[in-house]
Amino acid sequence: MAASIFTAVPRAPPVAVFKLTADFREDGDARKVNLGVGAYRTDEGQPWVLPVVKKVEQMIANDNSLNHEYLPILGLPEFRANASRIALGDNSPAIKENRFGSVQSLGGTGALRIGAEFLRRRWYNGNNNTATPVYISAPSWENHNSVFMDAGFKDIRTYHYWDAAKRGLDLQGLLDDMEKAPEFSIFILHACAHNPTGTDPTPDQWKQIAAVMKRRFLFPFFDSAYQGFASGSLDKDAWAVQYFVSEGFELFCAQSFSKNFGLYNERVGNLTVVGKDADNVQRVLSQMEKIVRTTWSNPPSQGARIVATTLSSPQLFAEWKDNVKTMADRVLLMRSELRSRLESLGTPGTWNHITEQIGMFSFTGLNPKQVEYMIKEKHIYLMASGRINMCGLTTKNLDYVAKSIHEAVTKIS
Amino acid sequence: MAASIFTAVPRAPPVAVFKLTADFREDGDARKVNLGVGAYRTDEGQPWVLPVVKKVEQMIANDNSLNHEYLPILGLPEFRANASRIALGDNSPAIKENRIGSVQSLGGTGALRIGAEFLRRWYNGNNNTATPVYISSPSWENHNSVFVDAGFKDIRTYHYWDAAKRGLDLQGLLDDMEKAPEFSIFILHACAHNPTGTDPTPDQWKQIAAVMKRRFLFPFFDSAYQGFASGSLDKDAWAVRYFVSEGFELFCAQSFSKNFGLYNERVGNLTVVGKDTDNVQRVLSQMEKIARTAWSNPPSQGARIVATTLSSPQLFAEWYDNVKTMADRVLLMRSELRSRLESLGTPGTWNHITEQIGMFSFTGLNPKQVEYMIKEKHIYLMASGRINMCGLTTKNLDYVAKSIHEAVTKIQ
Repeated sequence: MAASIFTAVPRAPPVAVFKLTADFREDGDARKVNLGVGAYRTDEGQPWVLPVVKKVEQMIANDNSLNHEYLPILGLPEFRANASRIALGDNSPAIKENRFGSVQSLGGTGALRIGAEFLRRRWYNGNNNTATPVYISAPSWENHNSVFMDAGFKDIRTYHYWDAAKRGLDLQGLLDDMEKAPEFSIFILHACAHNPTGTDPTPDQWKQIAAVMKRRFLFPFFDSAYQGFASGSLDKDAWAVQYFVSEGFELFCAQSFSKNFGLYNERVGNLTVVGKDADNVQRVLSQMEKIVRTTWSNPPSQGARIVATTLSSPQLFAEWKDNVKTMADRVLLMRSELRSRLESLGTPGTWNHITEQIGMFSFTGLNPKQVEYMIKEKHIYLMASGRINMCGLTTKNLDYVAKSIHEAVTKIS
Repeated sequence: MAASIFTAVPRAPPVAVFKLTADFREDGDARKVNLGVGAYRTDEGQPWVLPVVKKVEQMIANDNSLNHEYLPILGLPEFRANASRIALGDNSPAIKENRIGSVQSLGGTGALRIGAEFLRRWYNGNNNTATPVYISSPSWENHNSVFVDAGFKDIRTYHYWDAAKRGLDLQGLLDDMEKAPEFSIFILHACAHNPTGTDPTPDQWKQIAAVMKRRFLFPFFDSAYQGFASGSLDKDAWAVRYFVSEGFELFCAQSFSKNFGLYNERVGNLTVVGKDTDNVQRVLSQMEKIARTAWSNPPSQGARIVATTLSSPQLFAEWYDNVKTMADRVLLMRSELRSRLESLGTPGTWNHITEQIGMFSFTGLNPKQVEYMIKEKHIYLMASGRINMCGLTTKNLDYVAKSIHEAVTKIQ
């Protein structure tokens, strides 16, 4: 029998965060804790379908006026308009001046990919210019690099971000990288709740960043996956994006509604495009249509409809904000409780970063050996980078996790 | 104020079939008929949510054991297994021998794209953008675009539609295959060829398979109408299963848009058939990487509806019945249109209307005649002469038949 035509295909390594969860599932130890993958968990350690989502799903299932006809290529109009409005703010000059556009996308990943493909293919900094440098924070979500690579960019670089020594933002390093970056370089900026460090620039620091970017014609490509989830306030979490818009930037913002709506598996995302005027934005969108057409043709309806229905009803919108605050508050509580336990235990080092960081993740500062100890000896699963998902903490496991971190830090160097 | 960084971005032309529907919507004429975009319509000219789908959607909304946690990158396991089983058949040697894989995808488009990206990266060498890709002439216009965007540089056509005899140009097709470089990729329509509605007969498929096997050509099936074309799932999957039984390694991009009426939930599946489990697993591991940067993991709702339906004997039977309802209406419209044209004595032969299969018919109208139909008669069809049979109803059959008659007799 002839050999397979696939004989030479190598096995690809699994995506790290899913491998971690798979290992967690197979672990039979009763004390096990999963601090890996980024999804919200209740204090019982369970996934949470937002009450407002459950309500709207029922409404949709009972609405006989709805059907399953193809959405437009760019997506459900009510979803697109509302999603961008959430990111830009009701009073956005970009909205008033009708110089924004939206592409309903497959989660934040899909939005990043459409934006990346456009920037590479379609007349940004030339035509099909695969050489435009793309800067990604060190560290960042690992898929950022992969998305831009698969979109065809050949020159992907990192910009200084995390200062491990002081456990905070390396602003000077960041600004230096921006000063040295070639003009028109693309910078991937985390709108809030930086993944994985949980460390965001302050408003003053954002102003400094924006000033350099404006002077050097650098392109801001925001990734906004945690709006509302990070602080509990939609406006606060969108401050950076809205500031850049008010400073006259043309920019992209890839939005995900996976976390703030808990709609992870319905792939609800939106790429917001802000341009100088309507004509430019329309031409950009027409090219993005072509990119969408060969990737998923037109986007899935269910999740977008849930979000659109919620955002366009004052009543449901209020319920949603309340649900979001529930999640944000529980995370804040876990941060505060973990920090106080570590400080009570006298765990070597400083632990204020746990409450100063924001969003789902905390960069604990644990090194790979200490992480290995946590996983193998304590059955507590976290990323090799030391990143933990605060949502994995519960009132029941806080003590165990704190004690285990204490052991890891004191026993392993 | 500085110029926009997007100043040089040209406006892209709209996708033809959506432009057609947009024009149709704006048309105020009461007689208007939309024979353009490929979606099923009832005899009242309305979209149809399948009763079994409505039922399962209710079940899902009321199922408190379900949540919205991320699906695995390759998709919902129950969906993947059932979807591939539908294509390959319950008794497939490939399934028995555990040498199949499935990737839940965003409709047929997403399945084609994942398969195309994989082949460009890992097939016939490493990142070999020069592997020729053959697409039927004519074909669905997005086939070309998908393979271009996946990075292939050498996309060719293979003879398919014989306009003179209004049928399959088998000899031209086989000649193209004989001349194609070894390992070339061929996009084959599993059934209900879009846009011609003309499929090879089983004997013709056997001839095609023989050449492809001898010349090491790769079969990439596009299966968007299984069940919808003839009313029988098995009949519509005959070609794919024949190739599997002949020992081919192949891809099959499946869409559940039409046969489940779930167009906007983007339910698709890429079925991979290989020589053995190990090869298939390695292929899937690479496809995971491709899916991860395109959509990360696929949407749940549509896949769950399909999985629930396919894995319940009761719901499966209801679904089969719903599919037959759609297929039968299309067959009726074919038969009624043909008989009207023959009664009117419209010049030409019209048996192709009932001999063609699936949603579409290649009427044979030329671009000028098509323009007449749109502008004078407010009947919207593709410039190629392709009509969607689902756009016909008992109410508009007479008007459409008379209009075709006028177009053919008045315009050359």
